[in-house]
Order: sequence, then C-alpha cells, then structure tokens
Amino acid sequence: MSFQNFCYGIVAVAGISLALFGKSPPAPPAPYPPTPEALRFAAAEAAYPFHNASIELPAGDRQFQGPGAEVANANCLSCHSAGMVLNQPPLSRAVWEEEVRKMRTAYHAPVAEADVEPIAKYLASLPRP
Amino acid sequence: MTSSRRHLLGGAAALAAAWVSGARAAEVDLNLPGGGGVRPLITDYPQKGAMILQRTRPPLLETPFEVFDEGTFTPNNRFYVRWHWAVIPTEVDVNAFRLEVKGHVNAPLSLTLRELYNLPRVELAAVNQCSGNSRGLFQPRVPGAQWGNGAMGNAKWVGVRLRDVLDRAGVRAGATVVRFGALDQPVVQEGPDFMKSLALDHARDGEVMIAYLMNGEPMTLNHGFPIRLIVPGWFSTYWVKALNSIEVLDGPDENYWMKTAYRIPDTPGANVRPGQTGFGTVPINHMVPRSFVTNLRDGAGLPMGAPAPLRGIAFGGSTGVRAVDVSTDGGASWQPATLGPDEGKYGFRRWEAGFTPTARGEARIMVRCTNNDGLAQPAEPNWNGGGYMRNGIETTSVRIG
Ligand code: HEC
Repeated sequence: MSFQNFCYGIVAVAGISLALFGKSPPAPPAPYPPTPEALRFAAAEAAYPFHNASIELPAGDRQFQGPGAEVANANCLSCHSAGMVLNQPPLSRAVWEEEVRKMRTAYHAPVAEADVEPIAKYLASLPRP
Repeated sequence: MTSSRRHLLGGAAALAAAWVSGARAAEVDLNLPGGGGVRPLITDYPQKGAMILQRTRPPLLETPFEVFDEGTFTPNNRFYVRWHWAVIPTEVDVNAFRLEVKGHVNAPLSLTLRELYNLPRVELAAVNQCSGNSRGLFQPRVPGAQWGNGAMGNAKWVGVRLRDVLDRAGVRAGATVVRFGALDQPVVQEGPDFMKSLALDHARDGEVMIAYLMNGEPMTLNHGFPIRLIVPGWFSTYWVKALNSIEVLDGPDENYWMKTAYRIPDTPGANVRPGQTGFGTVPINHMVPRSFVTNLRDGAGLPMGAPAPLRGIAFGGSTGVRAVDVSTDGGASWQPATLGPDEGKYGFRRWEAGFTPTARGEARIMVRCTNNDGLAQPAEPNWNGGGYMRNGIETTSVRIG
C-alpha cells in the first residue's frame, strides 16, 4: 500500500465513523501528513473487534436405531442431537425414566405420559460397550 | 481404574489417510471407566481444528488432551465448546446489538458495542473449565455430558471491568445479586432460559470482566461473540457467552440454572458417597486445584535407565499455584516439580520434573497441585451425583522395559 493510499484510508475511516455517529458530513481530505490523532484513530479502528459475524452449525442427523427406536426418535431429537443420549453410561430403566421425566419437568419436553415408559425401556435395552 | 489419560487411536496422520481413502474418520478413546468412551475426532466443525465430538447440537466439543502439551495457552480453534440450548446466536449484527443493564439500578443502560469498547480496557489470563469437566471419569458413572479431561482451556482475555459497567448504571441500595442473560434461547418457549448470577460484591470485585478478545483475537461465535463474561477462578457455567443482559436484583436469583441445576453438595470438596443423603447443596462456585502430565499418555512405554523428563500443566483454581509435586512410584514418595513462568494466578502454570526409570514393569506417575491457599488435590477422587468439580490426583501408568 502506498503512503498516499494509506492516508486516504485514514480519511475514509474517519469519514465513515463520523457518518456512523451521525455527526457532520466527512471533512475534505486532510492535508499531509496525517496528525498523530488520525494515526491513533486509524490504528484503533483496525483493532476494533466487532464486525458482523455468522456461522452455520451442523444439526446432527444421527437417529436412534433398532426395535422401539421410533418413540425416542419422535421425542428426543428436538432439543439436542442423539449423541446427548447415546453417549450416556449404562443407566438402569428406572434412571432412564427419571431422565425422561426430568426432560418434561425441567426442560418442558412435550413427551406424552404414555411415551415415558416405552422410551425408558428402549434406552435401557440399548447394547452398551 | 484411576487413570484418566486417553489413547489417540487415529491422530492427524491417520485422519488424513482416512480422509483420502474415504475410510472411517479418526476416533479418540477417552478411556472412561466401564467403556463407552470412543468419540469421533472431527476436523470439519466451523472455525475449529480437530476436536472430540461429544454432541453435535447444541455443540459439546472437547479439546484433545495432547493440545495441553503444546503451551500455556489453549489455541482458540482447539478450545472446548459448550452450549446448553440449541438456539444459539449464529448471526450477530454488531450495530443492532445492545447490552442491557437493568433492574435495581439508577439509570438503566442500553450499551452499544462501541460504547463498551470505549471503556477502560483490562487483560487477564484465566482458565475456563466446565463444571462437569472429567464427569465421564466418575465412578460410579453419572448422567450428563460424558467429558474426559478436555473441557477446559486457558486464554488471555481482554475486555472491560463489569464493575465499570455497573457503576455507570449506578447500583441502587438494597441490590444483592447480578444476573446475566445471553442471546441463546430455549428450544421450547417455556423452557428455562440460560441465566447465571453472582453476588453483587463478587460482580463488583474489579476482576470479573466482559471480554471481547480471546488470545488476542476477536471472540468467535463458538466462544460467545460479541462479548462474554469472564469470572476468574470460577467454573465456566458463570462465564455467560453472547452476554446481552445484566440485571441487578434485590433478592436471590430463583432461576432454574441457579436454583436447581449446577448445585454441588455443601460438603468439603463437594464429596459425598454414592447414595448418601441428608446434605445441603449450594450453587457450584470457585474452582479447586488440578494438575496433569501432558507429555505421556497412559500405557506409554519408556526405556530403562534413559532420562524421561515429565512435564505438564497445573492450575490453582481460585488462586495461584504454590507447588506441584510428582511421584513416580504410585504416591510412595514425592518430589517437587519446577514451575514454569507465572502468567497470572488464574491461568495454567507449566511444570517439569526429572525422571529416569530404574525398575522394569509398571510405573505409576502421579501429580499433585497445591494452591496458594494451601489447598491440595485429594488422593481419592471426589464424587457427587452431578459429576461436578472432579479434582483428585491423576495417575498415568507407563510400562518400563
Ligand atoms: C424440550 C427440550 C428437550 C427435549 C425434547 C429433550 N431434552 Fe434432554 N436435555 C435438554 C436440555 C436443555 C438438557 C441439558 C443440556 C446441557 O446441559 O447441555 C438435556 C440433557 C439431557 C441428558 C443429559 C443428562 C442431563 O440430565 O442433563 C440426557 C441423558 C437427555 N437430555 C435425554 C433426553 C431424552 C431421553 C429425551 C427424550 C425423551 C430428551 N432428552 C428430550 C432438553 C430436552
């Protein structure tokens, strides 16, 4: 970048930020060389950490498998992917039932009472390493 | 099994090979007691390097343990990631963003990021550790995210003091608690929004920070862009990401994430026996000392008679590291380790110790951190039903031959 472009850059940055703050329109190009304040301002702008950001996160498409899996697929994939459930240590049917009830009471999971036991039964039946 | 090292089954080379051949991706075995610790090692998560996949949505990504051998600070793209609800801010318009300061204050504020940036800037190194780090190693096992030891990391945080923001709004007499809310949202409308709170005096201690830089770089969305709370010495559940609301309360915070979740027994070390009842609970709070060997993994082989220096990391929790001691004979004798540079009392401290194996067979290497309050890691691992605050002395078993 040439010295001239660099100075125009400073002026442009100053102009943009004035516009952002809704003050007077950009001043005419500053005489060379840039003032120390202008240099400091440009440096601070270059370090400014906030710029629009976006990210695309994977959803996870793993499904529960095997006999009885439908009721888990229907009830247990809306808030978190299957890994939350399948990575649990071996848990008894009673503990799985507590977990499903916790999902209902603590997190308001819309699980029908009639589905609670079949889900617990299915999860307790999964083969564990 | 007291060991907590992991075996890296794949490694970067194998991963690359698997990619080329279209074969199964690399895996990591977290060596969880009773098994079930094999997880994919993924390299395609946005803005991350190789990470251990615990859960895809919302993400739970664990740092592969060998990363901790590379330096005092954990690179941002290898830092663990943890969210509670799947409605995560995936897009932030920095001009529209406001940080609301409200509740029991004289002048409610709606701060732009520019206004926040113009406040005095502070910097601090601090360990961020999930309350449930190492939960997968609990015996008996307990439900929850089944982390190995990689739900932690150390970074340099730059931002502004929470106190300066609170003082701008003017906290009113009678205020006791400050509650923090964020851009993330429950998946179901009635679900409990993720919020955490700190006592007012803690919030105003001048160390609690609203950070916008992590290891010198702008925060990424995975780690709480545009701003997150830093609560040095306290577990990460309080380090609210994508912070957009600060609410001053004049009474206790009764919200689910304080009142029901993240509670530990009020016993020393949060330690109880499985099945024990009749103890009270308190919200999890400050961290306790931990230390790890980082240059050897469980099951490694070492030749007889050849110097095999040991090194690793330690942190004191709510205060700095006073000492790290190492045993190479399963805890029968201990020698002090040499501490690396002090980069701040809340951060990781590297340590080194000499070791020359002199007997064939298994050597059990143990490491113990004592913090500046004189608190040392317990010999027996602590246990509680939530799987929180594990900090027993770690053992790495190696074969001498
Ligand atoms: C309404 C949303 C919702 C639904 C539906 C839901 N969960 Fe959850 N679940 C959660 C939340 C929130 C967590 C806590 C997540 C975190 O801490 O990262 C959780 C965590 C868990 C955990 C970890 C242990 C724990 O108690 O925190 C298990 C196991 C689990 N869910 C199982 C299930 C099963 C089985 C189903 C199907 C019946 C289910 N979930 C459906 C919201 C839900």
